[in-house]
Amino acid sequence: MSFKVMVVDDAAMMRLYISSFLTSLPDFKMVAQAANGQEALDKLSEIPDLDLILLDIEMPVMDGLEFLRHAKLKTRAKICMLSSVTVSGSPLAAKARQLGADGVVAKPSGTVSHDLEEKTGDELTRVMRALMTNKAA
Amino acid sequence: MTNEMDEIWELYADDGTQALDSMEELLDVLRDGTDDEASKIGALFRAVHTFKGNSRVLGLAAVEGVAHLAEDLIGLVRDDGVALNEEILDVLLLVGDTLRDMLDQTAKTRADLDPEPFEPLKDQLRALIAKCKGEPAPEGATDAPAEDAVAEAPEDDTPVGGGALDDISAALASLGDSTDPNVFDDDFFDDDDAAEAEPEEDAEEEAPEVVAEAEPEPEPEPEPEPEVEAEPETADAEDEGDSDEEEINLFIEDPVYRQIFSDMAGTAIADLRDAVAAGAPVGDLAFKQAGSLAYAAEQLKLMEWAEAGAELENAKGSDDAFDVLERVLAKLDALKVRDIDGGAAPGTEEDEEDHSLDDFFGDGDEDDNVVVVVKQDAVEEAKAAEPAPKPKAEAPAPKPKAEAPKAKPKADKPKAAAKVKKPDAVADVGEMLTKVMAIIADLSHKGIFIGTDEAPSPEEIKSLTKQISDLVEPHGYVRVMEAAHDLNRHRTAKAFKNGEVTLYEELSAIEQVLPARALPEDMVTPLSCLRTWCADNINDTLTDLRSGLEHSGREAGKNWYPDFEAMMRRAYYACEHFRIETAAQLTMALIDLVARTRMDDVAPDVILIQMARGFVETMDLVFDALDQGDEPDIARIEQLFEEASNATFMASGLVTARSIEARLGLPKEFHRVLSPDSVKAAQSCIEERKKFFVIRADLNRDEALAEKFLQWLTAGHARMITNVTIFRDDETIFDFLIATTLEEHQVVEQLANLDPAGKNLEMTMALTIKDETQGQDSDDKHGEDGQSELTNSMLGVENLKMIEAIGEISAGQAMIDHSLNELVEFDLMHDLSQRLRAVGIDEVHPRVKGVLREAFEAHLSRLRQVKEAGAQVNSKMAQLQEESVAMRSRPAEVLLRPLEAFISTQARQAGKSIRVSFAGGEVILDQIVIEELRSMLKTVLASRITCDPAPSKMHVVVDREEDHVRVEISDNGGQVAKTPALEEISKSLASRRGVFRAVSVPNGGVRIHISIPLHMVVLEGMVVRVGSVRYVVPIEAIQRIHQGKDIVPVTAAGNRRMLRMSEGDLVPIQTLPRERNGVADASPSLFVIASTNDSRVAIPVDELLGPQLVLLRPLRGALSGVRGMTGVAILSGGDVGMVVSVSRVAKMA
Repeated sequence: MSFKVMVVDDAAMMRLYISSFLTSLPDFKMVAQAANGQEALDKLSEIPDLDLILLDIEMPVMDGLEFLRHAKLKTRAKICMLSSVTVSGSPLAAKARQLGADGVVAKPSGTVSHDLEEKTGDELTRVMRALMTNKAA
Repeated sequence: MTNEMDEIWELYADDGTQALDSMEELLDVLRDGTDDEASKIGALFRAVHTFKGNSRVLGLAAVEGVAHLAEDLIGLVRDDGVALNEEILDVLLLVGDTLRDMLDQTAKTRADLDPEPFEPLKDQLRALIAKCKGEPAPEGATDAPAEDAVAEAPEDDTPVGGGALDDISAALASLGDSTDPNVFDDDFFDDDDAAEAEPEEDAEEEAPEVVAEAEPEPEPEPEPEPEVEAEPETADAEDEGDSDEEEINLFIEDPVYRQIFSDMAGTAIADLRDAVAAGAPVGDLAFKQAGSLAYAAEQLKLMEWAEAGAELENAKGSDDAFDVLERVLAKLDALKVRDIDGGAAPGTEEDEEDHSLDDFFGDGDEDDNVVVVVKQDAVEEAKAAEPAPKPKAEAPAPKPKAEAPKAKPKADKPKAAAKVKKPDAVADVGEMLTKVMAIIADLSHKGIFIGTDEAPSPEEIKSLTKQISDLVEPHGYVRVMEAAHDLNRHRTAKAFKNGEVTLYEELSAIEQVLPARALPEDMVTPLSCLRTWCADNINDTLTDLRSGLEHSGREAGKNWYPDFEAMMRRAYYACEHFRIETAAQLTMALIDLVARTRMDDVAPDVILIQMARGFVETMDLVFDALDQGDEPDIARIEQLFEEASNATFMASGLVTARSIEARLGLPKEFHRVLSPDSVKAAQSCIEERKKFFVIRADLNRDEALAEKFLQWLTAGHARMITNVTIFRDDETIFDFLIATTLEEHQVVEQLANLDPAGKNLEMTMALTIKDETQGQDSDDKHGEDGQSELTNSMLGVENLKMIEAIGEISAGQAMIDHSLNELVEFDLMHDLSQRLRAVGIDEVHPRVKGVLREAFEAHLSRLRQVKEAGAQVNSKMAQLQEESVAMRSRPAEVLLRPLEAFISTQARQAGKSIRVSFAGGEVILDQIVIEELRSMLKTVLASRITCDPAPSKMHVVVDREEDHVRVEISDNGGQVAKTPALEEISKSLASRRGVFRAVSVPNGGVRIHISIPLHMVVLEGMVVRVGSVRYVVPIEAIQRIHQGKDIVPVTAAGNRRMLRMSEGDLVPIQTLPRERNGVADASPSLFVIASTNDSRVAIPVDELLGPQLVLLRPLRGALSGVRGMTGVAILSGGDVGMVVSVSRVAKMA
């Protein structure tokens, strides 16, 4: 069985990279993607059994932090922040945790991190799997 | 009377005397006039406040009444600009005398006094207070607002317990000053709470009480009693039982969530209405909407909404789905009217108005920050008045309305519905909070006695927590209810205290979403209580944090993280109390950093732990300064905050993002995306002298172009360092920072090839790399030097071990080098000839001699090669050591200042007052010695604080002697008791040539000497050359450098040679060994005059090579026999220096 993942990122290339990364993980499957928080919210009702959301922060229309608030009411899926602005100890990382993010991972090379898999793949996989086993991240 | 109670009464007497002494002293100062009136008045207020709090703790209402009014009066002077005049001073002096009498009597009788004789003084105080406020003198006014509150309580039928217990600040002060041994017992990492967890039936037991007592609760407006009042009690019991199990995730306090839910509910109800209009069968959308709404409601603990939604969701596929739909719609309509539209029952006049969702849970105030009030009862009221929810104009008529409530299964009845109250306004919440705070004051008071003979019964606690639950339940504050309920299971004062803080935190969460001015101005709010409490208890919090950090390694239990977070949150509130914003941010940053390490269930890394330790130590000093009324030095906090922000960089051994930004002159947008990887990439590109450009790219518009651009980046033309999002309206574009060997025009050309139209790719900046000096010259303080500073302060335990290893290797290398030198300089041929001669062989055949010489030369040549290689290693080692020496050097201040806070905390906990002074803070010590001394001194000092009699003053001196670090503790306490801990210290020191000695001083008191050998000690020395040998003479032992040849033999001194410094001033000369076969100058002219204690020695040297900071290592192995030396050190440049022991050399002279 694969866990269903939605990727929310305003960078189309980033969504591609993440999608490609997810295909390398047999236990995860990308079932939806969205370019901003609002789009993601709209899709939530279509996928009631979503397991995980990989969420960027800086996005137009509705950013990741606002989406977090909504999503906490509208989905049981775990939410992992995957953003270039959530470097350890950064105020936004702390804010995301405060708003209920289940996991926080930083993109390695900025908003569009083509080296995501190479540099952060292991960490992201670890966090995603931990979330799926209900571990705190 | 228990021992604990004896201690409490003794503390009351001691503290009271001190407070009143202080009051008297301050009044004298103020009467005489002072430049520092504000701080004196502040101190006066605190003295009276403390006194008041202590008397309150012991239920001495008469004493407290007088102190309370005095405090109010001083408060007017302190806070309201009332001038301190003779009249006020006279009254306060009278109060001081009166309180002293009251103290004497109450301490003796351990009972309260008859308040009557003190009424005239209280009247006088009230009159003066009124006068200062410009009000008429009150007639028959009560002596404390607390009593008002208590008196009011019965009107609301909300008992708050007896006594003047609603003055939260006093109760908090009493908490902070408590001497209950349980309050300050062991660190927070024990699991006493978990161990005490009560069986679940506890919740079930309580349920009937909740209902039973809810019934008489008054109605603000008379309403018909809903018929559902007599709900089965089991419903409550189940709910409460469940709530213990559930993970609470209540976001309802957040106005954003309220708005989101409001929107969701509106949409769902509209869709359901459409579904009803469409008739059977019910479409999927309706079930989906019901499910979504149920889930959201569940998250917000809006259980009625959740149940209604679930009811419909569960009906999917059933035959009566349409009936259920109609019933649920009716229910949701009623809930919406009650919870969202403003509380009017459907069908009333008010219902005809257009209710906006903006009124959600509020009173229609336009302020978004409306209060959360879940009006659990309104549905029932609505049903009672008009059971059928009236459909909106566009909706079709629903089924007969009366069916809805009847059809509702009894078991679905939410527990809160039984408690009829109509809390629908901010004022109600304010009133609720006021009442809750009064009850908490009572709880706090009772909690202090937990674990003593006067411990409150579980029923008493339960009764109070139930009162809190009853007050908050109608508002839907489930988390507060849980926090209150949790107080029932605490069996130690400490656990109870922790529970109280949790309760304050939950109440603070409510307060924080209230609109401004929602609470009475004079109210002591939960948040202010929480902050005050955390500030009052910050020393304990820091002690607990410190203790937890000491056990943060593998042995850390599963509760380490949550406990750490809880303690850090307390520190956060304390920082907020003192308005130290940076420190508050730092606590949040540390919480985030630690949260990340939870992923692998591993101990936090050493840098993080060290940072947290740094935080604790720094905050110790900051809070201490604040306590003393001084301005704290927050520079260190700012530095730590920067470190926290750069923690991942430091962990990777990288320069910080800031230094890269400075060197490249990066636009500030890039700051937030400079990850360690980006910094590493940028750093290596700077080293490769690549050129940096910023390229703006619109990658979302043209996917093909985006792919081409990214391929270009990854194909080796350029290296992407990082990129950042730039928003243009609702579109996203990106700024890429790239590094390349291409020139600017070439980059432009290649971009043009990729995007001929030039619409989506554009070079916006060509950056110039500043050299390191320029980078430092900018305002950035974290360039190379800053980096070094940061690195220094990040010295973790593992790093210390590493540095120690460097020291060991350096010393070993020094010894090898020394031996190698000896071997190289050793004339093997000459030695062989001597040995042969000694056994009677005077001549060796020339051919044999030639062969031997050749072999020796070859051997010597190889030795020289080894020596050369060794010299290179030495040079590297010297660099390493130089860095490690700088990293490990610390002033003793780092050791002493936290000890001051430690003594103060320990003394307070023991109910003592100790004046402590320090000397020697400037002495530079090695970090390892500091760490070693820290735990040792804490043990010794703790034993002194608890000795009998306890000292009232203490003096600690740190000093560095030539080859020892010496600490002397002197105090006026009783004799040193032989405890196992002290014996252990003594034994451990003795095994390392150290000393632990305690002596009684003739006039009373004790002096304790601790001496640690100077191993691993950082030393500032003068490097001198004697022949080809380098020596280091400790700078502090050098009296002067003398040039001259006035050497005289002194017969009386066994013909020793002396140096005549001036007429009649002779100093014995002691030469230092040269290299083997080295010839000393018969008439040296350069001397280092060194002194130790009372003796001096003139050491002839060939050259002064200059001062140097070195890490002294002990002599080991073959070198341990070298006379007159303390140790060896590797000098800059790789030479080995022998460190001179001046005292030993002086003795040799």
